[in-house]
Order: sequence, then C-alpha cells, then structure tokens
Amino acid sequence: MALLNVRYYSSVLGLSTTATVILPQAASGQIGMAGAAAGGRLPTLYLLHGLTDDDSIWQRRTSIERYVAELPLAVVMPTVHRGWYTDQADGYRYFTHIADELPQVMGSFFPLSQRREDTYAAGLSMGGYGAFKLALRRPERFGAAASLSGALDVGAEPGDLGDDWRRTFSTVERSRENGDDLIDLVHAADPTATPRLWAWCGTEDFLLPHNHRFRDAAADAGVGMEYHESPGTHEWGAWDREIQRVLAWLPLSR
Amino acid sequence: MALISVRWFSEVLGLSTTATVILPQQDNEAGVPGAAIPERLPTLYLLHGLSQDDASWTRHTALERYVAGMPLAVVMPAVHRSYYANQADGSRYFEHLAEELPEAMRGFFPLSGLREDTFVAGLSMGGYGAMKLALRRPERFAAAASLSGGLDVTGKPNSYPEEWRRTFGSPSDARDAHENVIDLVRRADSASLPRLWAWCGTEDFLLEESRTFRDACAGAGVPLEYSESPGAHDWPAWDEQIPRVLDWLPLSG
Repeated sequence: MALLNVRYYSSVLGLSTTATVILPQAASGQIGMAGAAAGGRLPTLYLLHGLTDDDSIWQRRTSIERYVAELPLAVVMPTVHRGWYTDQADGYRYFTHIADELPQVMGSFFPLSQRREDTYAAGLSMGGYGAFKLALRRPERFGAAASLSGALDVGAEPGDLGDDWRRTFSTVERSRENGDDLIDLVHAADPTATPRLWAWCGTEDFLLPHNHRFRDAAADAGVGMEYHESPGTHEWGAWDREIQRVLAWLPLSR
Repeated sequence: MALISVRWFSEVLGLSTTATVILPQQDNEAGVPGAAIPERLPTLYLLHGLSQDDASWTRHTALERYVAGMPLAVVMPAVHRSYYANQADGSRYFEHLAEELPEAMRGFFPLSGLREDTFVAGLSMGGYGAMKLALRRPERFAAAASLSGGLDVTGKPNSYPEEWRRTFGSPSDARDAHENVIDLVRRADSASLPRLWAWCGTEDFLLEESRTFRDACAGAGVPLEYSESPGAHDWPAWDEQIPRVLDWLPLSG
C-alpha cells in the first residue's frame, strides 16, 4: 500500500487543507490491480473523522492500512475540523466541500472510480453522521455508507454542543430546512434509491439513543439498514474492531 | 497546487521509501496562479543531492510557487547517498530510479508516459543522476538539466574513498556499468539524445566537473545549453536557477 499526505487547496472552503489517502500499490507482475497507467479505476471509501480529530486520526489510532492491504480499494480521509460535514451557518461549507469538491479534486489526483457502486462513505461519531448525510443527500453518488457510534440525531440535544452547534446548525428548524437533520432526511428518503446503510453502536455509548432513534426512523420509512450493537463505549478500540466489519460488508467485488 | 507526500514500498530496494510530489490544481490559494490541467500530466523528475531527501527541494526553495500555473507534475524521490547507482553491495538505485519509480508514480497519479512530456533535473549528486538517466534512457526523456552537477564523480575515486568504492567499485567498473557520464556522452548518438542543460556557479568546488562535461559534449558534437554565473554550491543558487530550468523545459503551451 501507499500512504499519502495530500496538502491541497479547497476553493469551496477558501482554505489550504489536508487529506490522508491510502492507495493500493501494484506490485510488479501483479495482475488485476487497478492503476492509472493501466486505466483501472479504484473503488473508493471516504472515511470520516469525529469531532476533535483530523485526517490523520484513522491511520494513527487503528491499523486501517493493514486492513485494506489486500483490497482493491482507495481510502480518502479528509479533514473538516469541527465542521460537522455541514455548510455551517457561521463557518465553512464543509458539506459542499466533502460531498462535491473533494471527490472531484481527489479524482483529478488519483485513479478513482466515479461509479456509484464503487463509492462508499463511513465514519465515527461526527463522521458517522457525515457518512449517513452523504448517503441520504447524494444517494445517486454513493453505493454504501456506514456509521460507527454515529451522532445520528443532531436535532435532539442542541444544548450539548453549545455555541458550536448554533454556529454550525443555527436552529433545529433551520437544520431540518437545510437537510442537516438525518432523522428528517431518512423519513423523506426514497427507499428504492437509498444506498446500503450499516450502523454499529456500543451499548455503553452516550450516543446509543441517537442510534436507536435513527434505526427506528429508518424502519418507519421502509429504508433498509443493517444495525448492530454490542458491549462497547465511545472509544478507538471499538472503532478499530468495527471498521474491519465495515470493510467486509462493503459491496466490493473481490 | 497540491503537495503530496507518498510513503510507498520499493520492491527493488526492499525498503519503505518516500517521495514528494507536486500536482497542479485548477484553483489555487491566494498569490499563486492555477493551471488548466491536461488529462495526462507532463512530469519533471527532480533529484536531490548527497545528504538530502525527497523533501529538500520544497523545504529550501520556493519550487512550488515556481511551478504554480504550469501544467506540470514534479516527482521528487529519495535515494539516500546512492548516486542513483546500482551499488556494488547490491542495492539497485538506478533501476529504482529509471524503472520502478516512474511506473509506481504513474500507478498513483495521472502522469503522461510520453517521452515529450518527461523531463529530469537535479542538483549536485542529482545533476549527475539526471544526466545519467538522460544518457542511459534517451528514448524516455525529452530534456535533462544539471545544477552544480557532480558530473565527473566516477573520475574522482578519492573524493570520498570508502563510499565511492562501495558505490562504484573501481573507475573501470564504473565505465563498464555505464556510470561514467563523461564517457557516456563521448559515446552517445547525439541525434537520439534529450535536450541537455547545465549550470554551475563560478565559486562552486564542483565547477571543473561541469566544465569537463561541457567540453566532452563539445568534443562529441552533443548540443548542451551551458551557463555559469556567480554562485556557490548552495540553496540560494539552486533557488535562483531552478526557475530557469522550468522556463527552458520544452512544455507545449
């Protein structure tokens, strides 16, 4: 595998920013590995960090590179700082950046497939929210999305996040109008067009109620979703373990 | 521009290694122009000197600013103290540079594989490496440039004796293994060669080596764009000269 640190410019954010990327490396004589020279295009997982993290966190806290080593898969890990993968009321347009600009920019650097069936999103906590928002607002672009301990009901307890929340979402009403409320989005979703969804949460995690509410809303809406819980809290040991199950679940042709 | 650090595995060297790559972007941050991006990028392989690494060019010059607005990728490998040579001890740095690196980088990035889009340049040990690559793989490069090149290193076994011997063996070994760039240019078919460019500072301790190369080219009828100006073997000189190299590259449009 190759591990790349990509410092690039986002005109949507008006910022220089960074992403960490994992690419398979074609060993000499190894057939079947996609590469730009061969015209092959890689299935791509957009793997999202949580609140307080950055683009380096997955690689530092887990063995993600080792887990994808045998897979024909590129992994793109962007950073949104405390941006909630949202076009913030008072801040930056992180949703537009992640949903639209990032795939286009990364696609210009690397041989990434642009096909829906080859494009996936996953994330932890704030990143689980981000992954599901990508799936529900860009269902034509993503084939599958996974949430690990996702903050899936941001409309529920705005007080928890204080000023940050208001700067990002403004009000509960605005968050619904702007397509930032996942419960709302899943109720309005077309079940036949929704990407495959997968979620896990630890039973001791403070976000368990968020996950229950989303699971139930998806069931009400007839949106298919694979849901799991098991003993665990909001910590990296759990995500290091669960990301492996996500990778096994992705609809990759192997 | 995007500045990319690539940690990748070299099967040829049996080592994890790093390369630094600059890719153009349509839009750039304040103060630097964007570029229209061709589907397959012209590429400059830019080589470091002895004691340096893949980050040296970007750390010590404003290279990224100079290439902003150019439809050009820059690939900077790390080769330690190898003189871009297949070593007497078995480490095959020339093969790594000439074959493995471009192939791996084309697997990661949309780089052109065409001769007319492929260039090499370097400073000091990298100037020697650039000329060696151009003379040994003339069908793969359209242009090669040496800045303060150690172009007669294989004629100077006493310059750093122990390492020299481990790298080159003996002067006759070096010639037989096509490591002697002065010898290569004397035997070259000048019609098939890339365009060549060399500069050296007049206060540089390696000045004689560039002049030896210049004279060998003249003797062999090999065209060489050669210049000297006040300057030493240091980064201010290379920061000043690399824009001239970029300007000289035969980039279309």
